Amino acid sequence: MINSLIREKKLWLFLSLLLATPYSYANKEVQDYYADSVASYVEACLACHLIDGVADSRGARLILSGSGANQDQLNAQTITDFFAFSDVDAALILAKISGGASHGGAQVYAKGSAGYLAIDDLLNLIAGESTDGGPDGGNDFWRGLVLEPPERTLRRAAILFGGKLPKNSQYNYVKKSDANLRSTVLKFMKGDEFHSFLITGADDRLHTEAFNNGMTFEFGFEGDYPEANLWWELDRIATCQEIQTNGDPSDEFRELNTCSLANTLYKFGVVRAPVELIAYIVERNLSYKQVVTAKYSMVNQFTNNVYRSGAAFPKPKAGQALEPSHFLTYKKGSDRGQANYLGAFEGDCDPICRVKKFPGYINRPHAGILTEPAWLARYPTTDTNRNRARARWTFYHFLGVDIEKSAPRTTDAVALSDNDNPTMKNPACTVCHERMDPVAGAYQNFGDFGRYRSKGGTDSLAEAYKYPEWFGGDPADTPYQEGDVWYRDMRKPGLSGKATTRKHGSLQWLGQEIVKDPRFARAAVAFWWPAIMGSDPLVAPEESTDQDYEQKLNAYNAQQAEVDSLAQKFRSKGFRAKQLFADMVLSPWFRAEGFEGGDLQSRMLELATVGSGRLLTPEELDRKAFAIFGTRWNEQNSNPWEPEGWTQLSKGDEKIAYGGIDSFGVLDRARELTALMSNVAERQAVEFACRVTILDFNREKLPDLRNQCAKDAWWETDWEKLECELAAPDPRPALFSNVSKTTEPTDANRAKIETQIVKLYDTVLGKKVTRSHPEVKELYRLLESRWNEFNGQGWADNPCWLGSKNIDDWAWDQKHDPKFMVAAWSSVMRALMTNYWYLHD
Amino acid sequence: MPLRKDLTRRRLLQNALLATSGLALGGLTGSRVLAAPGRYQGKLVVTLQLNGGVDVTSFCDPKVNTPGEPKINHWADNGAPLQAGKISFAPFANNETFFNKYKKDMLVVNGVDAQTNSHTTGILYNWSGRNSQGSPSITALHAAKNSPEQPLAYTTLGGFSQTGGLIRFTRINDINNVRSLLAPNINPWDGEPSRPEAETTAVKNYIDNSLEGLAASSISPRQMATMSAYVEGRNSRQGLASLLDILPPQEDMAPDVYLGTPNGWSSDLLRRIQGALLIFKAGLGSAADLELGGFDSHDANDQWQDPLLSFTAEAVDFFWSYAEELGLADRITLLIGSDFGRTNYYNDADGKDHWPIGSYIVMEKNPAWGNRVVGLTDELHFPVPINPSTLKKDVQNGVNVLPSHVHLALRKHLNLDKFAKQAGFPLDVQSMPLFDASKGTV
Repeated sequence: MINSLIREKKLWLFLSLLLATPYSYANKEVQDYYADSVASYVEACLACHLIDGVADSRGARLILSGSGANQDQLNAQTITDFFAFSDVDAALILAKISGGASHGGAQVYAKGSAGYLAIDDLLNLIAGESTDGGPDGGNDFWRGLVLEPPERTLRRAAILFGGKLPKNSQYNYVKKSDANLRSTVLKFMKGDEFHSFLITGADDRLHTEAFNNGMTFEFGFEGDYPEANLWWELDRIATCQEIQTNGDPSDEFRELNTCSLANTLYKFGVVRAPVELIAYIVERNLSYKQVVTAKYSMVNQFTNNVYRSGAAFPKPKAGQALEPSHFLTYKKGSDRGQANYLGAFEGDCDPICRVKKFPGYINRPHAGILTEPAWLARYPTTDTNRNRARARWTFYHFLGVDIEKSAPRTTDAVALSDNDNPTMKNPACTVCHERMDPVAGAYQNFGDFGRYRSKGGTDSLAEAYKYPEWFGGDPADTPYQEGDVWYRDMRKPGLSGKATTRKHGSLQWLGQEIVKDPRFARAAVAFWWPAIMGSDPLVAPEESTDQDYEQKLNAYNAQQAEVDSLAQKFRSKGFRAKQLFADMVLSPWFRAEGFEGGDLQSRMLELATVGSGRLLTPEELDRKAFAIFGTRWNEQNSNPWEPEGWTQLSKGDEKIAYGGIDSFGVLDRARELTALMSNVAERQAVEFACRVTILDFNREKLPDLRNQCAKDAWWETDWEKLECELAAPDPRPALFSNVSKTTEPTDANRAKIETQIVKLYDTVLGKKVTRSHPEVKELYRLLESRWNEFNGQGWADNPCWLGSKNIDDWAWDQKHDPKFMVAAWSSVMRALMTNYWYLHD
Repeated sequence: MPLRKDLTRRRLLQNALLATSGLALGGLTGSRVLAAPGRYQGKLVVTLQLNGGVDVTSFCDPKVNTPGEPKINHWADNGAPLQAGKISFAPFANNETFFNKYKKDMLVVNGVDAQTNSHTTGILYNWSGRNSQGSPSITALHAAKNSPEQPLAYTTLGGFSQTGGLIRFTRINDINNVRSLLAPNINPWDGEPSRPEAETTAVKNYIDNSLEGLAASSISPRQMATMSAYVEGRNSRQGLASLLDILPPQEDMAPDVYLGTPNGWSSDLLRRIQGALLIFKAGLGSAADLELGGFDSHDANDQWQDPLLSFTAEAVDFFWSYAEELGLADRITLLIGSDFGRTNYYNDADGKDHWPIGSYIVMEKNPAWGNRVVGLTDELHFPVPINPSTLKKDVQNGVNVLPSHVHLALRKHLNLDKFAKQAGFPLDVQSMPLFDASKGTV
């Protein structure tokens, strides 16, 4: 009887509602536990187990509520009722969750995962048993693993975040407690290198830097932002042609003129704004919620002008000398620069679009990254996509949900063959669109490439939708009504069953809803996991028949447990990202370095991304070099066309060859060396080791060198006129402090030289050894053999590009290496720079 | 030695270290330098991944408009499918030249049901043969079995390259950009050693010795894995310099090609093809992935598909011509496919959305199994079941062709089936004799 009633969907919903009243027999403990610990996991079930959902259409008895203020209460009751069926028990429910018992939705949570264990605990509570304390993600996962000493953790974190080596006092301090380690790690989260860490880490996820790496940026300010008309004032065509025809090419970049305009005025600042926003929030210890709720944007001098932000920058002027800082200095601002198209708007598109006449400006709504033009343009929409790509990535980055993975893995063609508004009606489609489309709707105001109400200022709706008669259709076919800003044949803007009626501020509403969602904190942990742990977050294994399934599952569960724990701390500390980063560094996922168990062979895969030993990315290797040597491989001074400077690993072809990304064609980092990458590592040692060695032995020259380099005009492209082709190193403590240029490898000097090798081993590789260590002896022999050869031939063979014309001279080399020891030490440095521990951390 | 599932990373590390120290040969040689592997001269496998979802009804599974149904193709207003041998194709793009020239070199598999509208799943399924994560691409399998010790055993020049942990892939976008890295101790500008050769030897000896110490320490599995890669990379890189000997001057490499898509894209695919084939010519690897994107034509379907399919034809023609020039054509199997197909009707924006049914084209030079079509779709591009033994239409008892069927047949054709099973990646579908020249659907 009950079963037959339940098959009547509406009756079932009514029954659920009824049972959720005070007559409910799901006790308060169950309801509380569900709301606190289970609801976020059941979210995944809502993809199918809703009225008219895929599960419903296939006869499933568990039909949940997808919305409403008492949704949690209802769903706790529904699960309690489902559990009461005579043929249902915990084993069946858990089997279905993990992909068994003919579950149509395949695996939702792997056996033993956090979601699986949370639901297991809920079922125990419903059955009147106590929970086992919640998900723990595998009790024995850490057996056999050994944590590194706190000093080593500190060094790794200091290089990763701050591009610095800790001081001895800091090493001593962190030995005393984890609290000391934590507070000291936090001290390295500041300065330019930390900023660089944040920019790189954020772009690794958002990929907005694609626009600086070849992807076309199609925002089109000139036609919409009156202040972008500045280029008319600059007499664009005449100036640019003159420079390109007759002038010094460097003039193109020397001052703000028409050739440099597009980049200077718009592109760089707009492209960087999303990641600069994240950096601003993190660096100032603001709530990380502002990433999707900030009512401001980040502007540099040029975007400040175009946006009419009112930030404290001077107004750009024709002929203004350009400096890298103009590109890289960001302040809070708002976009108030787009012309209102309504009323007396007049544009001209000959030869390039510009605003000629307009009635006023639009106050573009801000919701952190969600409203940033670069974010919107990186995931552009189309007339039929209708913001779904934006919704997909919003779910992924800020709620930790991979929509594409939420659908059943197989769907037959007949089920997908439907042109009667399938995303609203066809269960095979609604499985994803039920969740995705409301979020797409929240982006309703933003056009194909991110302009606000791009269709005449009234909306961003497709004209084929509004006016089908323009495309050969019947005007009666559209449900569009004057004043609409969203499609009536799609779901209303919203999130997780809640809808918003806001038109102008729907993305601001969405941002506020996202940060209320418990998944936001977990998504933030996952967002920063690659930057700090050096590996992508694990995904649940899908095939239980795979040979390595158990190992992958163990790793996934343990990681999920850690993510849960970190997210909980993140929430409790007010969403302060630096605190989160410090917690992540203290995690064994960062700190494990050795293994002493007997079952290593059976655990290689599950521990494959745990702890130290990551291959440094090109950016991380650059930062490590900077920490140790004060300079990077072939580092050049910054200039307006490379405002962040140029290094071989950050801007050269070696970046991609060494496993880096361009956020455009290459989105995933290589995490292990290949033969070609090994050659990149070799090349950097060949070119870089001698330079840092020679400059360190001639430290008295460094102040002059820095002074000379500072005098160089950045716009000079004729290298003959430059004092320095490479940037002078920043000051660092001496590397060769135990020996001099004349300390030869004799018996009398053996102790000094071996002590020097011990110091290099510690500073460059981060490894503590004693003079008796075999590697110290090996390096001594290497030094000695090189010195012997030079002595035999009577000159030092140390070819090296020092990057300064005053010292790049063979005679200078010989004069400053009277005993050939600088050349011999260069060989030792080369050996260290190809060592596993230099390239990995 | 192929990296097999039963050969753990630790074991591999030990082997790599032993090899480096000369002990892998029983300690008899005393050599401290692992000899570079010889040039690979066996079978070569390449995938050309047309990303986004190709409209195969305008390519190798042509469909005309059906009265009473939404229009499936604009070209069918005035045109009809053409025929090259046994292969039917659409009068669209540059198809006619392409199919007429290569009909004998290809097997067309139509009606392949990816069972999904998701790009992620479609790509995963079409290039690994399995719609769940973890299984290697067909190219990864081939390289792991046939050339695991080569420095560029498996090169991705774009596209899906999942390896299942069997092998590492090398990513190269533009072979021009890695010239200076093929011989890192040589100055690119004058060919002279960058540093004294004695130093290079001394440093190498130091690293080799230090690795023995590292292996003896209590390192973690992650360190072991990255150390293993470090050792293998060092050991195998010696052969890379041989690529320099055959690389044409930069100015002779294929230029970017303007495609004529609505957004004015250009493509460097021809140069990537050149890179893959030159790597093969140097004997440095056995498998490569290539990619051409942009097929996700939700708007203006024909304006996207036409130039992209024309360029696909041009690129495949370049591929075989250049392979012939390098003397490689006889050794290559080329697999062309996509995420899935496109709807059997145009949407409001004259585009076509996602449709689970697609096609593959498998190519070799003059194969016995060429000029054939396997698999079938009806007039609205729904899959029609075929008999898995006879490959003939069999609506009652037949099955729809899945990517897993195609991959199983390819594995058997390339002699990878047993290796894949031993490595823990079986495909649990019925075998179809796609490469049996005596059978076909059409």
